[in-house]
Amino acid sequence: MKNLMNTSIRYQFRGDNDYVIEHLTGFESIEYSLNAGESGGVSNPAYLKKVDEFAQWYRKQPGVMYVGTLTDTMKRLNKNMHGDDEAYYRLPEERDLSAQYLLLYELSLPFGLDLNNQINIDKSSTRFTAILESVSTQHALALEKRAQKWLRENAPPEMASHGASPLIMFSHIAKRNIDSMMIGNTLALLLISVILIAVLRSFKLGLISTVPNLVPMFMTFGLWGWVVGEIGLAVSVVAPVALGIIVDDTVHFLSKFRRARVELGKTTEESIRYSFHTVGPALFLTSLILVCGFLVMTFSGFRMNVQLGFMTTISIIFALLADFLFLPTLIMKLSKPITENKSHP
Amino acid sequence: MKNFLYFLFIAVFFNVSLATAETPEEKGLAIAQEDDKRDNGFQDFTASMVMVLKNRQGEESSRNIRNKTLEVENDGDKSLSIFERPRDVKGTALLNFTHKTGTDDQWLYLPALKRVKRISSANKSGSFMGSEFAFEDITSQEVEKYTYKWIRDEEYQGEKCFVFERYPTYKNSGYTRQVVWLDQKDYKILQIKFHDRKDSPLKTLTQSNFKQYLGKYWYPGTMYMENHQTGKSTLITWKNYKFQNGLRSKDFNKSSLKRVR
Repeated sequence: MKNLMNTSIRYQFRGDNDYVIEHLTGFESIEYSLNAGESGGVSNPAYLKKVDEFAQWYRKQPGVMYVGTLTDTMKRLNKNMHGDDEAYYRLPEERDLSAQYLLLYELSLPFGLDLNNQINIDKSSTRFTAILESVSTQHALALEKRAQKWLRENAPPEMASHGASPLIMFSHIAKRNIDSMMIGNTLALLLISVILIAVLRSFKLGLISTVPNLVPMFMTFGLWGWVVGEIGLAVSVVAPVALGIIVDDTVHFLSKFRRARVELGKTTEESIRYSFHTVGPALFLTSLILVCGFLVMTFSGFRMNVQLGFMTTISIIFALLADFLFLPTLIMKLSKPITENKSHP
Repeated sequence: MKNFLYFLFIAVFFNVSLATAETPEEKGLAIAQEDDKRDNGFQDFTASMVMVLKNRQGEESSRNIRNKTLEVENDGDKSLSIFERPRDVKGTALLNFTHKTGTDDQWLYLPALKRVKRISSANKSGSFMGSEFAFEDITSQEVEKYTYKWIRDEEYQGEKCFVFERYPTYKNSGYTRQVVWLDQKDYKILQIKFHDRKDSPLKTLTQSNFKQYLGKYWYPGTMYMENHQTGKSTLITWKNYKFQNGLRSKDFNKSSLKRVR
């Protein structure tokens, strides 16, 4: 069972991935294209110095595993060309010397390789690669922002550039997703309440319905925040998914309650009992079935599915508890004043 | 007597046809040897070339190089390439000794350091100056560097051509085979299609604007190499071919590298 939960063992790819990160290098990177402003400008000593300064600043940032740039190659070439004297592990000071080192390097590359994955064909820009440890999207975006600030403050204007990489892309996607989820969820909730008010033909009942719709979500996220503390793309998707299922329970309970109250003329307590008798078992069973279904997802090797499974299970359970324990008492508490008004449709 | 005459006729007929039948491998080798013969005897030449590199996006970069080549008996040519442009690398010089078999010898002179550096020549398959030409493409083609097989005769660009394949004997070559279009009249190489180590089509070289020098040697004015896998290309334009300048071995050694200008 323990092995089942340990994805490193279950999946060769994951195990290899973790090994690489622990012993070799990282998989997340941020790449920059640093422009020298003129053709052949990568040989300019001032440009190389700036790139080197940027690299040194970057290396000091938390979460950065490694920074690779052309300047490291240049320093090494300089050292090699001076009999491997350590004192020469520094950037060449003359522009033509840098250009000639590049030529030497280009002439020595084996088949299929050229410098074009590090320098553009015009020799006016070089590629700057920062490899990161497994960091959160928040961390990555913040780091990128700081880097851009450094470039704006310390480097000539033509060198300013955005970081680019799958990590940056996904970080932005996740952020955008979460932001729009929040708006979407709120809108959905409002709409559902409005529709319930219209369908139940009661302002009070419609408003009351928002409570058992919202409360399970709050409780689920609260529990998650307490136990896990991190929200990602998967978790943000749970709210709308679970909302649909939660609303079901509420609608069934309230529509039966309304029928009992309005059509059959029963009292509040009798109507609540009526609801329990008619839809109670069904609510319980469907929730149980759904919980079993979503629990299966928690066996997945894919973390997003596990999280989705867990969260939805918890929210369905909370929804059932809210509808069975909270909603009836809420109705009874709020119904007293309107009992007299509502006895005639 | 009649039977004997018939027998004699058949024997002679078959013998004659056996005698003239060449295997495609032999024919290919014969073509290459004839090509080599026609190329020999120029002694030396100088020329200047402009090399324009283009990437898939259409961005370009160009280099100007002066070239001196010396023919060496029973071995590959010696060549000295001096960079004129871009300005930062002006005066840098590459000395190359081609050998019929085995690796070539290469040295690079860096004027900013005033130092000559030997270059590892296990990289014959590496690209020359970032272009689509590999070292093994531009160093002198000797017969022993390949084995051959004639494929067919074909008309290409209005000229009747031999089409044959050649297979590099060099172990670390970047190619499994090359398909060569050689015109039958003057033995000019009009086109070569290169296949990489996976035997997939890799590059195509097209040569044109040939001129005849010393009434015998045909040299192209334009060489265009296109890489089908990366979309990059290199165009080399040759000018000012001058032959038999009286160059000698001592113009092609490490000390002459430093004196170059």
